[in-house]
Amino acid sequence: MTSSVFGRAAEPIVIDVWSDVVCPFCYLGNAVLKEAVEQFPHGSSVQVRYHSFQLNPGFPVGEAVLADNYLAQQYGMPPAQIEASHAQLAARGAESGLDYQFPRSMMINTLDAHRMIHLAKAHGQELPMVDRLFRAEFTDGLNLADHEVLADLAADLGLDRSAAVTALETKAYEQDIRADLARARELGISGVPFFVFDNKRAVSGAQPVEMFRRALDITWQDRAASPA
Amino acid sequence: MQASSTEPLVVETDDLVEAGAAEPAPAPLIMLESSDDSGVCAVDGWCD
Repeated sequence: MTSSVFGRAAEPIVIDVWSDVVCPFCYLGNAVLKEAVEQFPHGSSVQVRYHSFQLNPGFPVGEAVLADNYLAQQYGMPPAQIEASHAQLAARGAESGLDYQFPRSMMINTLDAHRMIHLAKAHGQELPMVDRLFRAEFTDGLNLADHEVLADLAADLGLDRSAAVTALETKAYEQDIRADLARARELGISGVPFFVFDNKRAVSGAQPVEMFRRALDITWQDRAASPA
Repeated sequence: MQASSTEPLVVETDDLVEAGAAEPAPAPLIMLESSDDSGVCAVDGWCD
């Protein structure tokens, strides 16, 4: 971009977000980040880009089990502990307008869901797709391992349903997903959500809105302090 | 490097280059520290 009297501030602040569709804190982090950007005086100068991350890449592709059953089996968590954990997060989510329905959430391999995000990105629908997948997973209890479900969601966003089916059948966007995962590894990301502001500063986790506001303010100040 | 439908996606060291996404090695990120380090789901699937 050509520099001007406005210097680098004329370019958007880029927030790169690594997240996974089955990550409940990513759903919350997505909502809280949105709140922060809306509050930020220069919010129109912010670009959010989502990147794929897989918490459970070894989970069998195409299969789905209730997430609570998976937690109980995988970690030996007693039901009361699972419920307490859910209640705490559901309360935080409600403050951000999210309706967590944890008993309906499914554990899946999210590779195909990430394909849909990359498909949507190619058509300028990345953020709506991220929103829709989170809601499908944590509120609607849809099975996101099911290609028909994923294709329906793509169609709901105005994308070509047959293109979505083709992307799923041909395992499209594999290189894009690999690139996201490789970059995450390069950056040392071991958990999500993870937010990188202008490739310089980072926030780990679904932090309070004030933390994201602080990150945006500091990033804006960084720009003012740096030469155009 | 095409994963089968039943294999996890394994990331290779040259994936960034193959994907055409290679950029100069990033400078270390500056973490904004928080008094609350919860709110993260780790790679083993555990959320805290």
